[in-house]
Amino acid sequence: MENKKLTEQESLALIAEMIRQSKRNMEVGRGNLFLLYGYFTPALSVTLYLLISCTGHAAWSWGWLAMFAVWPLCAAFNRRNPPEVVTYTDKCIKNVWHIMGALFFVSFLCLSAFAFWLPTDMTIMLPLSLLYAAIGVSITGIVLEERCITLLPLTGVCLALYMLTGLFSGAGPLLEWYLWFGVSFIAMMAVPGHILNRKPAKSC
Amino acid sequence: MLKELDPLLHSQLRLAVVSLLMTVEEADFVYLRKQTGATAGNLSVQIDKLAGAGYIEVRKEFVGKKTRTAYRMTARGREAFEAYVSALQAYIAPNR
Repeated sequence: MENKKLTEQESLALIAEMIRQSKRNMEVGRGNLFLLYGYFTPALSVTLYLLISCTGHAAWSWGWLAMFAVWPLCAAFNRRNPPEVVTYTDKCIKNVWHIMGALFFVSFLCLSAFAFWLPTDMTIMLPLSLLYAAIGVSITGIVLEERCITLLPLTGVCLALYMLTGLFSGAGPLLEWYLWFGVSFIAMMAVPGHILNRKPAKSC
Repeated sequence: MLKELDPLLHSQLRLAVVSLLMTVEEADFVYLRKQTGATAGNLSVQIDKLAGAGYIEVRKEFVGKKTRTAYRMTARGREAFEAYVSALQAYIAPNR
């Protein structure tokens, strides 16, 4: 492209072409973070389930803190490999996940603090995490206008409500919940991740 | 009477850059070069003109040992682009 003067029609055509071109390129790789959490969480849940059931030490449940470790790793990776372009949608989704991440962190800090003067069961972090992640994925689906991604997190919401009911009725917590937690992350994050990454390939 | 088209925007490469930046939050030099197909030197000169007029904001940062330059539209640039598109429409369909 050079720096020549344009006619009015050429100007409008150029504007339309540039807008089309940028839309074509904006969605590649958007599902990668979903895939990371969608597979890391089930792997972690199976690992912790096996460790606790084999050793009998409930202290392994602190291994869930590894979920927080993924966030700074991703942030460091993004700093080293910044995207060539950031769309308004990307910014909106990023902000949604900042809020969800903050909710995870604040919930963990509050529950840890409450444990000093109240009998606190940290297992409640499982349903809370499911709810936060489900809300985050659903909002992402709404922003991207992807019905499947909006609705899939309902699996996580149902499981979270089941766990909360179990906790309040005294029927839980159960170690099997770890496995259910992992499975729901596959439905809630791994599947949407694949949908998001397949979409640009189809549309290009 | 028809409004005069903004001479800063009424040139192929600068208009392409501004059109691309209008659709995104932020884009870097590599992205703009790929999308416009312009040479780095020419693109750099035209971007400087847009930045000089206050139409785009320039942000430089280090990524490892390399410099990355990112650009985004300013409020002034958006207003200028909207005025430019309105003026274009008036030229094409003056009776509308």
